[in-house]
Amino acid sequence: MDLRTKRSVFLAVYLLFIFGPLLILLIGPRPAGRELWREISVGIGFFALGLMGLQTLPAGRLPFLRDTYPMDTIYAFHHRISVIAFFLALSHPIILFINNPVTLRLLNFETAPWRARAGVLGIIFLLLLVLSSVWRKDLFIPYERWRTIHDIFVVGMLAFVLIHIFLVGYYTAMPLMTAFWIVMAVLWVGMFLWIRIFRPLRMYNRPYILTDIKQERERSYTLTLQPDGHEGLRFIPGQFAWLSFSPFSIQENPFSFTSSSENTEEICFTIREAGDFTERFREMDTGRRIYVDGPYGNFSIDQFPAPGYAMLAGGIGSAPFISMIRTMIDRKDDRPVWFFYGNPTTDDIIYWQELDELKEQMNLTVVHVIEQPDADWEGETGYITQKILEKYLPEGERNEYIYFLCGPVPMIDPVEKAILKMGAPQRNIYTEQYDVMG
Amino acid sequence: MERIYAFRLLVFMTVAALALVVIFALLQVGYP
Repeated sequence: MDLRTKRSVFLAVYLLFIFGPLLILLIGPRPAGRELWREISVGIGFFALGLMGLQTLPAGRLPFLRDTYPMDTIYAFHHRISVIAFFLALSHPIILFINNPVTLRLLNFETAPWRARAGVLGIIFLLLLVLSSVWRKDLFIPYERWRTIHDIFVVGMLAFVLIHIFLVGYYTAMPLMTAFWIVMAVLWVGMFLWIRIFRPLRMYNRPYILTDIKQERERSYTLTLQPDGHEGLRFIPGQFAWLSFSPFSIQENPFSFTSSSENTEEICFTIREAGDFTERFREMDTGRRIYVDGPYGNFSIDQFPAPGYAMLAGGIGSAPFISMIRTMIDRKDDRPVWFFYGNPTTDDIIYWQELDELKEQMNLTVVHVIEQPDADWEGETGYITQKILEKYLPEGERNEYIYFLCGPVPMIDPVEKAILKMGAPQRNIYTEQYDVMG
Repeated sequence: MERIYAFRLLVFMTVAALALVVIFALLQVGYP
């Protein structure tokens, strides 16, 4: 299935589920109506639950979705939609209270019936979920611990809200509505089993052996892994995978493949130390087992064919491009590639020497842009700007090229604007923000 | 590029859903 079809099918199913409860309310036979605002409140409640319930789908790293959407977009979408769902869910009781202030007594936990208690508990779990996610860093919650409490809050929230709607039982008395929420509950349980049991088991049976650690720069290393007792995986250049020391551990980080996708014997990842997990790689001995969950992502020359490519990287954002360049060399692909590589100082440039060698083997132009150069630096300085891009990219062809951007968020936005100002169309620009997931 | 589509989808979904909710509520209370 090609990318466009895959996306359309997924989107259709996703929207069907999101709008499912509302469509059932609209078309199904239903109990007699009540006041207008009460019905609006109930409709909003059902929609909010549908939104929240489907969050498990894109975040669950399902095999058939792994190359359909870029992971950073999925996570950004997940963050925004969760906040919207939160406010919608909150508006459900608030509208009820305003419409009929007598219902405020349902907030009295001691005297309230269980249908109201479950609703309040659902909202409390949702509130904790949103607060701990939006302000995770401000609350000093370590990433790994946050993932555990995120799971607990999700399970608590979904369970209590399900109890709430079935105990209220007004619209869930409709068989179609009951069936819909049973399907959703099965989906949630299935996703939970997939994420916590089946996916780890699959990884456990497909371990990799660390065969080499090469220091690239002071705090960056390239790991080489070989499949242990299985045929390994196939990826397209630009994709990434999650690495962990145990498949059942929630300690895992995403890294881009840096080897050629034509190399089926071994896979490489370049990592930069950023926190406890990445620092552990430095002390590791070769021969130890590493678990790889992937490949993921669609940030790839294979997904977006073009007569030429401009690759723009900041810091460790160069990793997916090294894989693309190595793959193009292996395939004897002679389409032109411009690689703009921004770094704070020349000491931060990873693959400097290697890029010089790769230039000789393909139609590759490398432009280093250094923020704080030494006195003897003769290359470009400052940031990657429209002026620098126009200086190198041929005027007649550059609007036909595909632009790939990978780096930290503060680098992506201005560079994307510079490309647009140069006249390249938005549809030709693809970005990957590597610090979204961390 | 996908980020822009994702944002548009989000706005579309929310607005469409709220419109459906209002239509449903109006139908339920016997309007028109």
